[in-house]
Amino acid sequence: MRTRRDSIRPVLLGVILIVLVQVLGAFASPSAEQGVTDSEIALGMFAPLTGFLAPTGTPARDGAMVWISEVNARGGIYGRRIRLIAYDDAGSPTEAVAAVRRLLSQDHVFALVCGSASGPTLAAMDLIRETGVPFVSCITAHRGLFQPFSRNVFRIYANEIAQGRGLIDYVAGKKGQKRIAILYNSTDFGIGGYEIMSAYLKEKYRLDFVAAERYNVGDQDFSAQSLRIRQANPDSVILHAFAAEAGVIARQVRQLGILTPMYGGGGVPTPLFPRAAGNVGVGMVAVWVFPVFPESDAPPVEAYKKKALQYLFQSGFPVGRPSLYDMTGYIGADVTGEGVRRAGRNLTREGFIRALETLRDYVPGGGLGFPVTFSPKNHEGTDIVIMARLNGHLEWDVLPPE
Amino acid sequence: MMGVMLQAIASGMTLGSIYALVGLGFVVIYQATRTLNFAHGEVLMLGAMIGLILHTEWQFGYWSTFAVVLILIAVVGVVIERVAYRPLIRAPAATVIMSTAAVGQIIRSTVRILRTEELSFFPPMFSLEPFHIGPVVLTRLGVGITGIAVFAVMAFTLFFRYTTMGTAMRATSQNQTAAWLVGISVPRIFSLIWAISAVLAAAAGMLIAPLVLVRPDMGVVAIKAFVGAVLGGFNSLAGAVIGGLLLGVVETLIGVYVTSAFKDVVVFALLIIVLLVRPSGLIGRQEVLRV
Repeated sequence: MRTRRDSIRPVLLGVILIVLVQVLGAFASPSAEQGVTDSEIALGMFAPLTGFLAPTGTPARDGAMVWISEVNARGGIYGRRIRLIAYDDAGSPTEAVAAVRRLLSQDHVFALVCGSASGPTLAAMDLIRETGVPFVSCITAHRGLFQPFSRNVFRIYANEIAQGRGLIDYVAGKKGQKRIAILYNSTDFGIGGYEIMSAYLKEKYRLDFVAAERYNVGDQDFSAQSLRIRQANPDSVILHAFAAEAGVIARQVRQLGILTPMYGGGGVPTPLFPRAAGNVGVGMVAVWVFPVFPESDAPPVEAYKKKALQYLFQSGFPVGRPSLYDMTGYIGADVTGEGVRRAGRNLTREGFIRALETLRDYVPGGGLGFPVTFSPKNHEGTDIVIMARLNGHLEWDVLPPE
Repeated sequence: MMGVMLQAIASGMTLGSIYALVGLGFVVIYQATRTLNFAHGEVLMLGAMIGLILHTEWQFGYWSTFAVVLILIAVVGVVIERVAYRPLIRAPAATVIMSTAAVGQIIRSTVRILRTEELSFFPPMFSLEPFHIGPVVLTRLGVGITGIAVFAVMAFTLFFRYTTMGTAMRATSQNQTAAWLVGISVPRIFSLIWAISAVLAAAAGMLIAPLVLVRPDMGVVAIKAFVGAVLGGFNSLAGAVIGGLLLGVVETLIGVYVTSAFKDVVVFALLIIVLLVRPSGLIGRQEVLRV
């Protein structure tokens, strides 16, 4: 017959075992910081690795992996190897929150790198702010990342405010266009960009868009929007869309006889645009947030390609790669690494954040990104944007300042 | 103002013709087997993707690409029938539909893995250069798609009504056992109809590819095409085409005159209203089940 003592014994044994494991665990790791041991630093990543947005997340993860492989091949940072744990959020806000929760509570990562597209990243921000985990964001350009300002969050390229204002300054300022129409998608990226440009156009140039048309991601026909734009008789059209859609839109706009100049938001200047638009896209001018194009043979790009081929893509790059997201992943990981280096041997999250705040004109990724500067009050690394034009060979050229 | 309306109708007709052509593939299968093939959009995409590879990477000529794709896709149609339909022929309708949806997902995911960044222009059968008729701008491709959709529905109507094979297909759809007893090879009929539907999908895929581009997600057009066919009447070939055309025109008119952002919301609300009033679609026949 089982006595009460018999039934309590296994419970007691279990409790003792758990306490023992905790105590031994604490002794095993000389560093008190989560995700850091004598031999390893665990970094976490949540990104769209499948689905519509996979062309952003998969290259970003690969870019980060190239940097990590490179650093580990040199023996790590202060002897600590870097380990990346990446989870797929499929571009879904719910999945992003679940991935971040898992990275923090199960994998106990030290910091997060890159993150996801705007929607999923913003959804995870409450948890990231609440836990204070350092997060170097490298995919989303959404302004909401710093609404409110978060000490533990950093961004490595110009946000959508800088991009939207840069584009309006070019179209309404330099080109002197007065009757500007805009077509944007109904994502956080599209609506956010439209609101920024609309407000800035009114505030600085005392102008309103003559037509502002919206579409849903995945739409294949844009004739209704194009017709409304044609009715407004614009002198220029801004496409604030993802590159592939912008290419399809450009074709359909021209097929309806709208021949006014077209300009593109920050999502446009990738190789996907000319592949979708063909010759119709020649002359398109769009905002760009890096000093180089991934498809160019600029020295920083060549250096990156060499490393990527050495460490990750021994049998060659997949089609369409490296893309700008390979670059952002690499830059994001590099900035994170610089913070870890500056934080010193005794790595803590607080030390890492303080170290990142000492970055002044740090050139990330060996020149793939614009110089990054952080301060205790500003964690937007840069606001530099440039303009790019699609040339007759269907390649993007950086436009020299006029 | 009149010019804008005429242009909206013309653009809507082009869009509607795409829906009609794609929707026809759904209805052809339904006519013969009384089931829905939710892999239709992916077969369309697969046809266009194979066409792209043959034409641009293997340097096949335009018409030989078309011919080879249609043959290959007919085989794909037969394979889908043998794998995802025939073993489930006695299963509930929902099971068969889920099975075809699963096949669609497999095709789409596989293509996505193999051609992640694929997004390419496929040369058009007719010119994409715009031309004017009065205030209306058209392209030869748009007009061509409309013509082909109308021609296809007429050809299939005649086929189903006046050929032995078409009659056998109709007989099979109404009563498989009776069809078997009078000597019709029911499995052969099924294989043939799935092959025909797949060929329709691939042809539509290559026709519309210059407008929507070849990419792993181009098959989503099948959703609207399905809605168009439901709107027109799923048990009528003409219904698929008229429903598709109507959907395209209404969608564009709403986009131009009401709201471009919420045109899908308005269109789907209209669909519900039409189905409440006429459950069998605008020109579909009320089906009576003899018990």
